[in-house]
Amino acid sequence: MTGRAAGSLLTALEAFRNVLTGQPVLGIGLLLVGGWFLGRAMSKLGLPAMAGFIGAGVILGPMVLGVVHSDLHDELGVITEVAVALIAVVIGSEIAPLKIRAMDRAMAVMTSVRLLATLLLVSVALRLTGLVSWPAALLLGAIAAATAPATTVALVRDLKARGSFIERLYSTVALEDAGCVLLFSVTAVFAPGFLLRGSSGIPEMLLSGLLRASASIATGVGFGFVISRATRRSRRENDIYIIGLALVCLMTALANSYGLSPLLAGLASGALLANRRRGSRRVTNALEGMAPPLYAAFFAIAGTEISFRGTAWWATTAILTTAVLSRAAGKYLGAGLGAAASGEHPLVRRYMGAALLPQGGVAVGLALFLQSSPEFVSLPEVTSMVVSVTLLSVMVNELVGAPVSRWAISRGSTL
Amino acid sequence: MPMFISDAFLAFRETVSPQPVFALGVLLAGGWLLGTLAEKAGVPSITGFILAGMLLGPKMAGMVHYDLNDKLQTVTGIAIAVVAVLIGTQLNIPRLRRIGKAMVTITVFQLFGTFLLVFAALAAVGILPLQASMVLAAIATATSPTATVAIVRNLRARGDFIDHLYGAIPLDDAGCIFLFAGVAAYFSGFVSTGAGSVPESVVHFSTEIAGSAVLGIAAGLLVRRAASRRESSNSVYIVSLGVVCMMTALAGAFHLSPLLAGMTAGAVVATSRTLGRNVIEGLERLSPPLYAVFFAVAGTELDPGVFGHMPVVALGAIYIVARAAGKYSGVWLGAKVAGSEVGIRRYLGLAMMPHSGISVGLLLYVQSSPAFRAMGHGVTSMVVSVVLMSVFVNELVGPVLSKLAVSRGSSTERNR
Repeated sequence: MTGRAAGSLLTALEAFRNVLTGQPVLGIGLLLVGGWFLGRAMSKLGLPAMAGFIGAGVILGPMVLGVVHSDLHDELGVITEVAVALIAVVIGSEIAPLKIRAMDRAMAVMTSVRLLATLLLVSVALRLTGLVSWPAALLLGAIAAATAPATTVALVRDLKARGSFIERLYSTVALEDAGCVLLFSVTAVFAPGFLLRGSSGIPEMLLSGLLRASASIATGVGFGFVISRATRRSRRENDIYIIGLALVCLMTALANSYGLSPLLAGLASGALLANRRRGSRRVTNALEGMAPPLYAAFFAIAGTEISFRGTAWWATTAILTTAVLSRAAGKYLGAGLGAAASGEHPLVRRYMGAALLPQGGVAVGLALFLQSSPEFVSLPEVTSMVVSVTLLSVMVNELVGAPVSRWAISRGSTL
Repeated sequence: MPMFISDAFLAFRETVSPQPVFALGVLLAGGWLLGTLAEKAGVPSITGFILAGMLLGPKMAGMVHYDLNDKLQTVTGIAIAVVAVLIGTQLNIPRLRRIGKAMVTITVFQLFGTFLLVFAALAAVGILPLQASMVLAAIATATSPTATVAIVRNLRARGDFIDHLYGAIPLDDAGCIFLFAGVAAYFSGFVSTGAGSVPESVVHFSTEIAGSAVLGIAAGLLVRRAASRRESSNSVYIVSLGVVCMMTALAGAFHLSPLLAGMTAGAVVATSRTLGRNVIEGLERLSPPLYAVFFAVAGTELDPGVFGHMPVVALGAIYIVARAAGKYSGVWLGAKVAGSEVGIRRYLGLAMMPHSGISVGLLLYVQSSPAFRAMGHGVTSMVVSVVLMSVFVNELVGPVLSKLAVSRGSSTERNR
């Protein structure tokens, strides 16, 4: 009797769930509120709130409760696209030649060595497991280079650390993320050609990739000019919000329609905006102010996307372990090598790599970018592999990386 | 050569327009452009947004694909709820208590004045059957507050006039639902002669109002619970937007009024003053692009084609004029009886012209009721066209009148 009552209760609950899942707006709302509550619990444990949003996505998504549809992505794809475009513009605005010029060459050498070491180690290690295809491995390697500026800043503030180690850490984090996005964009431009090559040879593929990359950058520069022209005269914040968002959306749509990379275009326009003399800071500031719920929704949607359909659990574990360990090795060795090559202090050589372990939103953004870009729609295996591995390893790197980074910062800042 | 250009344009449209991001971008950009021009011409920017939507929409330039309608409707739902919450946070209970009696008087006069005038005018013309005229008269009482509220916030107006205006919005919404309930009940008794339909339909609409209030209270309490005083403004922003989305979706799923629910939620949130301020600050960061998209999307639904059919145009014109006369004279009379200020008597009615959201909802309800369909296709399609024509005219003219009313109404007060 009770069994039957429980059964009918379950059916009723399921019916209720089906009424709810038809509503994408409800999905966003649940993800935002649920993610926020989880995020607050996480930050009480000293973990980043972003993990809470991803966790809420996992719990509410098809993997556990199924309240949020698995094809929500189609409905909410707009949010992801807009969020990625905004992230690209905001990151792009960090690439200011002024900043780069002010930095010494040693910094640039160290950063590039670290980026390349991570890319090589991670993609080769993943490929060697035999479970990941070359394009997916390369993309994951590029994503692995990303760090977590927000976590780093929070840790340093918390430790009240200062000194030349911290200065190096800050400039290297900003540079590293910009470099990582660049590396990823280039990889992403070439990867589909590599897979869908068909009859055309390698030179043709390289040429078309190069053409697409430069067309994307040109589009971004053009839009950057238009944005800065359009907002130059407007005094009111409202106008900047509206026109900034409008042009970012249009740029993404155009890039998607003509097979260009919205990411490279966003980076280019952000960089252009940051390097014009007057008032351009206002645009990126306005876009950033609007963004928090967009980012939050974006992480939660990402959580609903984690799936390892068709992959055995041991394979998943193997891939994840390889990704995390090879990334740590790449960061550590790359930092040591780069510091040695540019004759840095031994403390920098020893601790900088460990301080850079946390991995954050940029990585998630890059992974989700694949999903919103049309060329990768025909390559679902690559996309779902990259998204799932990135999300899980970001969680691990935040959980384990934050304490390690705290230790390394406190040691290194004795410099 | 022109052939070539138009072909290129068509190919471009074909490639780009099915993308939701493009729709969003082009509506924002077009809205911004026409909105700026409109402001230079002294017309509220909202009219520019709506015009941009109409020009870009599937019925004209086709830059916004008609397949995207459903996706864009989500934006509309969220925008209405955000507006409702913002109005709700402005409702000041003690002040409302002071003006409450006057407000009820004004609303009663205004609703019945509009209903009777429109009904009398349509009945006098005699093209439509009496029942259809009655349905139209009930729909005519609906007012859409979004445009007016956006104008108030843009002008940063405040004072007695604005209190009356904000007080009138929920009363008008609830009163309109009740009036419609009465008409629907009377009407279904008329056509189907089924007994017991009158109390049934009144119960149905009362649960709609009560349910909306309960939903709003729950949402408001959730925000209060989540966002305590120590939270950063970003997290208040995230939580309140999340709750607003949930509320909108639930209201849609259970056929409740998002406007009433949102206003209740706003009022509950605003009982704590700091929290109220934080929520407003968060939601207002989002509101400029949200409003622009909202009004542009509303514009994409306007169809100049409704002007094609002569009897409809004649009926529509009568409906629009009678509605405007009813709203204005009703408010005037009500304010006179209640002894309100001159500014309120003269200008409050002008701010009540916009006519979209709820009227379209009522229209859908009417279309789905069997009693209405029993009147025959010719009549029903005429009723629908008349309402759409009124929405068209009032969407474009209403904001202009509202801006005039808000600035005049508030300044009369200041000069006193």
